[in-house]
Amino acid sequence: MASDFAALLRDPVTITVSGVRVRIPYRPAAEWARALTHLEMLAALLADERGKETLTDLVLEYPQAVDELRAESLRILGEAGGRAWWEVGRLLATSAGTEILGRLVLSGADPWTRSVGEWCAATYALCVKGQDEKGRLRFDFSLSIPPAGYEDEWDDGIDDPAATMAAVAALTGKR
Amino acid sequence: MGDEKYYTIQIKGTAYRFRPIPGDDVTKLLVVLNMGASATKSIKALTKALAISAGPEQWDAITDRLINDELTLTEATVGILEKLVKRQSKDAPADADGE
Repeated sequence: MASDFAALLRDPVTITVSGVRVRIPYRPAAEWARALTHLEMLAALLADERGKETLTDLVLEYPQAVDELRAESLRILGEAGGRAWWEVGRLLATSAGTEILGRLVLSGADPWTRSVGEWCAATYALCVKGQDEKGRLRFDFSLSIPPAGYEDEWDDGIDDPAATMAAVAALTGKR
Repeated sequence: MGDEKYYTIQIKGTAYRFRPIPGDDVTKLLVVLNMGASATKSIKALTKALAISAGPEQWDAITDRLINDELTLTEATVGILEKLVKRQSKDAPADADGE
């Protein structure tokens, strides 16, 4: 993760595809949510016209560019949201659900004026509101499980085996 | 053509034979078409792939129909790609249709 404060930032992000750096301008959370429909090219969908042109040329010219665009798309999703990319994706998807979106909007939050990091933080806060420690741990756990094929990217931040067992025990209610 | 695989696709009443487009090229084309980039670049890349797939004679025939307004640009490009990708993904060669 680039910074502990990444979720608060409204800076452009930079991706590198086939050795070429492309700057992706700041986009509000709603634009990120819309781009999730094509996760593998999310960065291209968020790019400005010049960036799209550059990425088009790279994809057509270099065989590895499609894979690199995908990897960079996932990276910036995590970077902008301040969490693992799949957590950001899940929180964005959750925020579009009728009840959650309704509550967020009624609270005054607007996905067109909030950064993806802020929007995910608001969604998370709403999802764990009123939950006890066990419920919160369950939500955190379900959020943190990487999608199939990305298990190697899972880092729960716990290196101590005893702490891991305690966390598992807490989740299963055996403590 | 021998054992070469091809797909027969109907375009407004006429059947054309297309060779499969390599999987990597299909991926590239779908990425470029979906990323909302310049229409000119997308169409250029797409027509190049389809021209190779159709072969020069058939592609000339298709472009003639496009020029004569028998086909729209979408029908002659994205429409063909969609049908071809669908057929390729099912891996159903034209012979399987009894042609």
